[in-house]
Amino acid sequence: MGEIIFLGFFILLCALGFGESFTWTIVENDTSGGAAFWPRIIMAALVICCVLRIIMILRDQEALRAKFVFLDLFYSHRGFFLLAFVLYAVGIQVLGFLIATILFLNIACNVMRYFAKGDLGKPKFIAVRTVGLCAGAFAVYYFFNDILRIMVPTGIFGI
Amino acid sequence: MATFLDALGQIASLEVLLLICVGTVVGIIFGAIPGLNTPIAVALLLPFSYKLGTVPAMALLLGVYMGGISGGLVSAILLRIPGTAAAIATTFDGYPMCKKGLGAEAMAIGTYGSFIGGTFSAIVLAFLASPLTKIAIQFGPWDYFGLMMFALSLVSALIGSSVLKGYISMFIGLFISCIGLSSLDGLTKRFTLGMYQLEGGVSMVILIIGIYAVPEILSAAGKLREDMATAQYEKKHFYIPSKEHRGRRYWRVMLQSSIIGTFIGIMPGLGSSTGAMLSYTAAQKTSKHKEEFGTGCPEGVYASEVANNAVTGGALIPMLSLGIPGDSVTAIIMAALILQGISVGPLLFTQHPDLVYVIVIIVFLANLAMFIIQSFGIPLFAKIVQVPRFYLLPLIVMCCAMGCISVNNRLFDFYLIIVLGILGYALENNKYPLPPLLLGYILGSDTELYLRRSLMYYGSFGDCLKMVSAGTFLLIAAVVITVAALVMRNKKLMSKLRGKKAAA
Repeated sequence: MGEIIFLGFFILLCALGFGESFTWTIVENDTSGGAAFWPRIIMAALVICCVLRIIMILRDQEALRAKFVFLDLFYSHRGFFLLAFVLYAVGIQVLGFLIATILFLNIACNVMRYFAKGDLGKPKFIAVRTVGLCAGAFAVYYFFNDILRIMVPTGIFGI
Repeated sequence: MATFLDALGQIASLEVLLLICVGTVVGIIFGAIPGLNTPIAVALLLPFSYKLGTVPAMALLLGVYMGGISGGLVSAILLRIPGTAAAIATTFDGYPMCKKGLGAEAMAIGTYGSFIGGTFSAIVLAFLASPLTKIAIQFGPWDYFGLMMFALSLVSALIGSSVLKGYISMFIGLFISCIGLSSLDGLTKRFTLGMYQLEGGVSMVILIIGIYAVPEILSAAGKLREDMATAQYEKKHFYIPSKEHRGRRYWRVMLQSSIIGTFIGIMPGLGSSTGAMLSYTAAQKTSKHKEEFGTGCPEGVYASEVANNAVTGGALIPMLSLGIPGDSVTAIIMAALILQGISVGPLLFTQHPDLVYVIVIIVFLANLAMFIIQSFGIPLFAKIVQVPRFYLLPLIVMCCAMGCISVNNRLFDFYLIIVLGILGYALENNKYPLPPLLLGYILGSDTELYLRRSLMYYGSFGDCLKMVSAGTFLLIAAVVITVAALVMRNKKLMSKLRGKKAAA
């Protein structure tokens, strides 16, 4: 059933896209079909394929009962990591690349180590790890920002 | 002969040889880090090359080019994250080999294959540049459209367990390629949802990280307690494939992939990822061990790596003889030559014949340097998979973040990879193959461009089909492949056909 919903999402997306394509400008004397020509072919073909797949699923009881792997992304360790991933993106915007990376690396590495091994290790090891991760973040920041001259987000602290 | 010896004399200096090695190392590093790629490396080194002479500049940039294409195999094999688009097909068998503990061997195979492919294309570049270009120039927009449709249907129909799923994946890729300003007129904003960041479309680096790297990271995050594969390797300095993996069995696939890669390289715009994927599909189709593909088969690694490096020499052919760059890297290399005051094109062969030979020799030497440096580096690379997942995953995310930001200097792309990652996770874990999606995206805008140009030139789709040309034949072949794959994989239909045969 999950796969049918997934494919239904694409059908809906194509329907909306198809509707939107009628609002696009058509250049005068354009004999190539216009900007909407190719996307409409793609959307129609995608809808046909999705409908065919849905029919196949509905006709096959085994496929209908098969679990659609998607929701496990939001639970347990994967859920935590996805959340950390999203918060890291927000953190880069708010705190800047360097601070957000230091926080992300330290939190994610420690929590995931706890998930994997059930402990955080000896205090000395935690200290070494923290220093190492901070140094790694600095090294990447230095390489990209100072050597390659790539502008990284600086956030509210301007770092 | 005198010109060749003159060219050899220009290269025989410590400076040039050193620059080839430096360029190769830089290329391997940029190729191996997801998010960074060869065009970025070549573009960054372009200002430095201006200060060098023509020959040292070519040594540096071609070294980066050869190293970059090959360097993508490292993360593709060890982490299933292709460092470059050219290494996408390497993940199909390289990563399963790594999971079996053969990561070092897979890297050695990839490196050896890259050297063979690169050398083959250098030889072709030396002897056949002019006649091959004449063939390529005969291709019109309709032929290119046919070729692209052929490539798309071949990959979609043959990769993965279900033809329909392959096609759904491909159409999603084509749909993503439509995002942004329309390709021919550049006037219409398509599917941008009012966001200016989407007007330029979705960048290829962002799509590769989002579709390949993020789902793999998220999958691995759920398996923290499982043991990771270890890449076993013998304690030696220089790593080449074992005798078993470079025997006669692989000669055919190496030759076939070299030819496919070089041919795709000559065609402007198709690129090394298309070459590698077409070569992989062709190798799978023609192999005596079809069932082994996708399970960690050395033939698969050879098919991909030989072809993607063979593209490099091929892509230089139209650049040197016609002044048409085969891909983005050759476009930058062409710019470097123009900065040196040299105009590429037909006159290059008469005005600077020595430079053509210089480039051929540098391509060969850069491939040799790549082979030696990467073979020495394999034990070092193999240690990456020994890093525990709880350290490796956050560090990869950090590299992905940096890679995303570096593309357009904006954070929006990082949010985009999360969305694409969730899509990729759903597709991959439900057996929707990802390669057709990526190929659909890569070829999407060019396919549209050539189709619309054909319609403008010839009037209508029906008129195009009436033409006796390579494009029409390739389009028919694309339809035949799809129908044949659908019939062959439909078990019920096949058993009915067999039943009828038996009854007759």
